Amino acid sequence: MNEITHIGRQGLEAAIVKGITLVLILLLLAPIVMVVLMSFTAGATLQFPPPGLSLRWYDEVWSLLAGPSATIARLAESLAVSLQIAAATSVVCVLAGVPASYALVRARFPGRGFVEEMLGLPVVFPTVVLGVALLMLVSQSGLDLGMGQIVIAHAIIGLPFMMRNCMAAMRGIDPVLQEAAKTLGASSLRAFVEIVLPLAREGIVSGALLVFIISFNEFTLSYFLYTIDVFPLSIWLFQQSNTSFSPAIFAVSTLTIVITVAVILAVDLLAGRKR
Amino acid sequence: MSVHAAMARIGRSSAPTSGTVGSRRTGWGLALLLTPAGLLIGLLAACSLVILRLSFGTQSAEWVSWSLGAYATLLDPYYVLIIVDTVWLALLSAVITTIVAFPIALYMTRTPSAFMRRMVLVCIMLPMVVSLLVQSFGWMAILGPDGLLNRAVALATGQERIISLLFNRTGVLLGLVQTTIPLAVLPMAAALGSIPIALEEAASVLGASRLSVYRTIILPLAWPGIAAGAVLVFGFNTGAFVVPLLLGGLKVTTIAVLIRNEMGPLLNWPLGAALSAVLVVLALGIQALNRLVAPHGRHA
Repeated sequence: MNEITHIGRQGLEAAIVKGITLVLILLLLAPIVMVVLMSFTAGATLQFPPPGLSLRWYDEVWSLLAGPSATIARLAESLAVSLQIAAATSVVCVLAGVPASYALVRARFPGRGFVEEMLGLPVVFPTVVLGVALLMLVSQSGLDLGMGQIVIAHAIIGLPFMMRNCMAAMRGIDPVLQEAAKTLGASSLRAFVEIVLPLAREGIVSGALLVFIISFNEFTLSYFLYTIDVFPLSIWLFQQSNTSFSPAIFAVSTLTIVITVAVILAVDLLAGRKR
Repeated sequence: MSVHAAMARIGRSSAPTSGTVGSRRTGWGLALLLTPAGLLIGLLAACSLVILRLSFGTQSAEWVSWSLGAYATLLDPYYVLIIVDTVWLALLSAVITTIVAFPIALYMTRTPSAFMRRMVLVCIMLPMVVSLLVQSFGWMAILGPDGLLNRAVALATGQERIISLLFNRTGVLLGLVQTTIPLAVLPMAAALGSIPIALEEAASVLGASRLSVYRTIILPLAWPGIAAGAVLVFGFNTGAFVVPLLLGGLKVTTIAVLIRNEMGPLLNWPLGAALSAVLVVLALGIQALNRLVAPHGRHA
C-alpha cells in the first residue's frame, strides 16, 4: 500500500519535472523557431501572425547569392568568407589542440596543472577585451593579415573546446596499447599516429566541428577585426539589420540556423557512437 | 564520455590521469607538443599586457606616457555605477539561470530515455551556439511592438502594444539567461548524476518526505555542480557584450559596451584599456570563486 503511493508520487514528480523542462526548452528555442517561421512570411514586414506563407524571401536571397546582382549586397562573398574562416579556425585548433591534449593526458610534469589552467583561460577571458587588444596589436604592428587576424582570434576562443573533446577521447585509450606498439618496435611518433589518432578520432572530429560552428556564428571578435576585404556573414547580418530590416534577413538567418543544427546533430551523433 | 559532458568541464582542472606513457619523453618533446597551443595562449597573455600598458597612458600619447589618469577617471560615479550595474546584472542572470537550469538538469539525469536526454542536450546547446544576432531577430519578432507577445495580449485584452520588453533591462536579462543555460545545466547534471539513487530510497523508506529528500540529500550533494555552474554564468555574463548591444537598444550599458564606446567612437584608449583591465580582473576573480564554493570539483 505504502509502496504503491510512493511509486505514484514518484511518477507524478517525474511528470512535473518533465513538463517544466519541456516548457522551458520551448521558451529557450522560441527566438530560433520564430526566425525560421518569419522567414516564410508572405508579407514585407515582421508582422505577426504572417499574412500568409511563401518562399518569396528565399527567392530573393537566392537571387542575391546567385543572380547577376550578386556583387551588390556581397552576401555570397560574406558567406564564403565565414565558411573559410571557420574551416581555417578548425584546422588551427586541431594542429594546436591535438598535440597539447596528448601532452596533458599522457605526461606528468611539474606545472601541468598550471598549463591546463592556462589552456582553459580563453573561456573566462572577456571576449571584448581580446577583440580590442588584438585590434590594437594589429593596427600598431601595421601587419595586414587579411583573414588571418580573425582566424587567430577565433582559434584562441575555440582551443579549450577542441582540447576538452580531445582529452576526453584520449583518456579513454588504454596506454598499454601504445606500450605494446613500442615493444613491437614502433617509434613514439608512429605509435601516436597509428594508435592514438585513430582511437581519438571521434573526439578530434567533434571538437573540430564544434570549433567550426563557434567560429561561423561568432560576432564579437569579428566585429572588432573585420575589414572591408574580410567581411564575415555575422557582420553582414549586423549591417543589414541596421539599414534595411526585411524578412530576407530572416531567410539568411534561417540558413545559418540550419547549418548550426546540422553540425550540432553531427557532434551529438559522434558522441553517441562512441558510447 | 559525451562531448557535452566534456564541455561541462571547461574552465576546471581535471583529476590526475592514470597512465603515463611519456615518462621517458624528454622535456623537448613535451615542449614541442605544447608549443602551438602555447603560442595561442601567449598571444592572449600579450593582449593582456598591451591593455595594461595602454591603461597607464594618456590620450593621444598612449604608448609613450605614463599616468594613472584613466584609473582616476573610473572613480567618477558615472563609471562606478556602470561597473556595479554590470556585476549586478550578471549576478541576477546567474541566479535566474541556475533556477531555470535545475529542472532541466534533473530531467536529464532522471529520464530513462537516452534519446530524450540527447535531444534535451541538443536543444539547450542551440541557444548558446546559434548566433546571438540571429536570436535577437527572433526576440524582436516575439517582443517587438507588432510581435507575437503583443498580438497575443491584444487578442486577450483588446489593448494594443502594452508590453515593452525589448530594448530594456528585462530584454537583456532574458537574453543573458537564454544564452548561458548550458553553462549552468552541464555541471549541474554531472553532479546530480553522481548521487546514488539508493540514498534517496533509504531516506524515503525511513519516512522522509520528497521535500526533505530534496533539502537534505539532493541539493547538498549537487551543490558543487550547482555552484560551479552559477559561478561560470556569473563570470561569463560580467563580460556581456552582444546581448546588451543587440537587445538593450543602447539603453543598457555594461562594462563591455562602454569599452567598445571608448575604444571606438570616443577614441579614449587609456580609459577603454583601464575598463578592460577592471573587466579582466572581475571576470577572472569571479572564476576564482569557484575554488572557494566547490573546492573538490568531484562533479567534473
